Amino acid sequence: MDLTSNLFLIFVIAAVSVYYLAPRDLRWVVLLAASCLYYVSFGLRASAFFLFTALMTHICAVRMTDSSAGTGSSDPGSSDNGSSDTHSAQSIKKRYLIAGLVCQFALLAYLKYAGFAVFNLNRLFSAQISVPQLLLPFGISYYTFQASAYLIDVSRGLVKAERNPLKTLLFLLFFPQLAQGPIGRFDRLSPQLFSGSVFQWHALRTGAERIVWGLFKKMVVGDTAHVFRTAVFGDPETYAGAALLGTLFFSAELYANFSGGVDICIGIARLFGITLDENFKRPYFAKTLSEFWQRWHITLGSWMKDYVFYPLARTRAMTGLGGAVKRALPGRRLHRALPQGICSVIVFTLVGLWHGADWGNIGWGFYNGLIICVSELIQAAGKGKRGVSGKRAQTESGKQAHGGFGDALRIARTFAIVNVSWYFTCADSVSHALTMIRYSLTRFSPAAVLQIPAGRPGTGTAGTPFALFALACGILLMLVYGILCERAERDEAKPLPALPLAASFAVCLLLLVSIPLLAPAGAQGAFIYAQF
Amino acid sequence: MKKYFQFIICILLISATCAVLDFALYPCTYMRNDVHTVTTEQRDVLFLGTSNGKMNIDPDAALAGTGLTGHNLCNGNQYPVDSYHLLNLVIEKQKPAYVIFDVDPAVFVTEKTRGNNYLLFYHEFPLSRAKLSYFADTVADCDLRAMLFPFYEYPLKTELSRMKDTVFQKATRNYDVSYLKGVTGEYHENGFMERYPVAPESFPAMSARTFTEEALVAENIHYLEKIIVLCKENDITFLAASLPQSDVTLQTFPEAFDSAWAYFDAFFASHGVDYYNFNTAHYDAFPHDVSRYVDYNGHMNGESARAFSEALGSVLGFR
Repeated sequence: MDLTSNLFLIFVIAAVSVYYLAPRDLRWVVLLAASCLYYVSFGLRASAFFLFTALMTHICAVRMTDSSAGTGSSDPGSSDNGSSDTHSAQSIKKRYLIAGLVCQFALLAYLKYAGFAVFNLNRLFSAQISVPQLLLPFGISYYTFQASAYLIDVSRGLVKAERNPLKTLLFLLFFPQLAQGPIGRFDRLSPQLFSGSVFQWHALRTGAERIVWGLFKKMVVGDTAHVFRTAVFGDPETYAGAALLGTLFFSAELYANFSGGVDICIGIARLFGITLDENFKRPYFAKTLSEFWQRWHITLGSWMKDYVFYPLARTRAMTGLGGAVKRALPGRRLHRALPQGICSVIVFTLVGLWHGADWGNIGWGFYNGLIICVSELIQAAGKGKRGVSGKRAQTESGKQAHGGFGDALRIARTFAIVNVSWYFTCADSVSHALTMIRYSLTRFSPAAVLQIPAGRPGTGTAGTPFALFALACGILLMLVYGILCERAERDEAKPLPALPLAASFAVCLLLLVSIPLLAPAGAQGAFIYAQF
Repeated sequence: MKKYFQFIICILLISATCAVLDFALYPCTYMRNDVHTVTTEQRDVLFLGTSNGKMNIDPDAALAGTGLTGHNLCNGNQYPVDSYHLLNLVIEKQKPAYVIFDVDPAVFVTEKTRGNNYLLFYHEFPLSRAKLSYFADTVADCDLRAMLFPFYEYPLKTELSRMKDTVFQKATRNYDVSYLKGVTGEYHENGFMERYPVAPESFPAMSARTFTEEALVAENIHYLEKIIVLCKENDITFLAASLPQSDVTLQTFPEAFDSAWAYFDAFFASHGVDYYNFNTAHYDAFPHDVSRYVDYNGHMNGESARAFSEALGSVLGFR
């Protein structure tokens, strides 16, 4: 069921209706049933893999909690949880944690990366191992990360394992977030899922508004930009003059497609009275690449930070490296920046790998990590500045330094850095990406975009100006809203005013009606992040 | 209570907006006329199939002197799934005695694009079991524009230019065919689309023709079989016919056509269906010179279509 299909719309309406008609203590059952129905619609074979992950996660989490309970320290968040565990209890806990994580990631690795591994082995050793054609279960990258976060949090004593396997299943299977996140955390999500929400008109309203906004972003901006981007990257010789615009189109497409999809997911959850974590925070307003990744796919970033970056940074190797650097170069902050930089490179390479089993994605992740690493090192090596990137320079009053023109330059710089990476994401190969970059610099001719047939199928380029107009309107709307939100966030004394119901309804209705008028008439583009 | 009424008002306003936009913008097509005719009037013979059938079969000419009434429900981009649901709708409203199915091999090796192609038919269905079934089979998987804003299927410029006529026709339940007269042809009340003659030198480029059993789209065959079964269950005589292609087209893609004819010969024989192929067994029933057509895809001009329809009626045993 596609998120924008009629069937899904009917499914959501039915699910929400049944949810609130059910007694409150059974509402979680309704959510579970709806989520199961949704997942099974993608095939029973995929469901088998999911059930395996869910079962292993549940068993390991419960066993870990039991092993702690045996020592009398089963309370989550207990500060002496580790020390009061006996050695054997800790060992048991560790074993279940490892077993659980190995099961989860082995399955993910096999289904998602076996083909890539075999392909490269064949190339490296001139072997002829047959490349396995494996089913990639729907949402596997998301629910695996969600399950592993849950297990790790249980092992750390931050949360207590859920004893009801059906509730564990619901936590992992909750359907709005299955397609493309956000990756939820047990401590925040489970109380909302299991307790059953009380019906609130406000939740219904905000949920519907969010869904409409997401639909507009995805269908008008994302799908229109997709038409132009695929044309430019698909035929670089014909549209060489539009190469630079091609990557800008992808900037718009990827953000509108992904954030629009997430808006729909968050809006649907809100209809059930459930608040999911935000996944985007106007990333193109970021002033550094590090900040960009704190604003883009936030839940993946925070997962990587909590479960990869920090554990990696605390390893003996990294702390040892830091110590060695401090001794070698006293007076600078490199002892922190260098290990953190190395960790950033590793983390972002993994982020690239998460995005896809190919060297292009790995390279893209490495590129991001390297830029962050280098910028952190440069900042640390500089005089009088704090050494960790992402933290802005502080004024004496402690407020953030605002430099309008300076900020604009930094935003533009970060946007450019991000867009360079998009070349490698859109292109079929490194050489293709380099060709597109070369064309961007040497054959820039924006009028080439008018040669792209972007109107209705069969109309050639007659509809292209209107398509560009529709795209520009959509981007402008997103930009204006983004600026308003940024200002509201900076100046807490002046929050974004809530519109009265009539005005909000009128805006939503206009957005809704604009979709058939402005979105491309052909078949819709897929949700890019639903393929992971 | 106040919130409850606000919610109801919001839902009503959205529904009204969608309805008004659909009423004003979705143009009146000949499919509207077609569906109206077959759901309100008894027709003995129904013709289902593609644009070849639409432009090559004049039911009045095919059934002249037989006392039978007929309607041409063929249409460009009509795939077997559409034919099945159209027939389902007709059977719900009346009971034809015959269904003549235009077998165009090209349709069976192409996949119907999920999207707006269903709306031409679905939009005109009155509320019925057939419409629900059609929705579940097809439109449910389309994006929500198909259900909420079907007018997205047409260019806004076209819709706005025709809005006055659209509103008038819908408001007065007008099915006057004079609104459906175009530059290249005109629609007749029996569903026949008459094309005006075109000189061969002005023909558009020939479309490539391929047909292999491996390329067959299973869904298309599945729905063809469902049509045959539906006819049997309702005591409707089902006849299949491949309409004549021009000699030029037949000679340009001989392998593809031979493969197609062999397949359908066997297919219909295995289902006990009479199959009339005007490119093989009944080749001589009608001339194939290209001057009788308006393109290389088998669409005839009006005069030739009428002549062919008479031949069709004779071959099928109606005349």
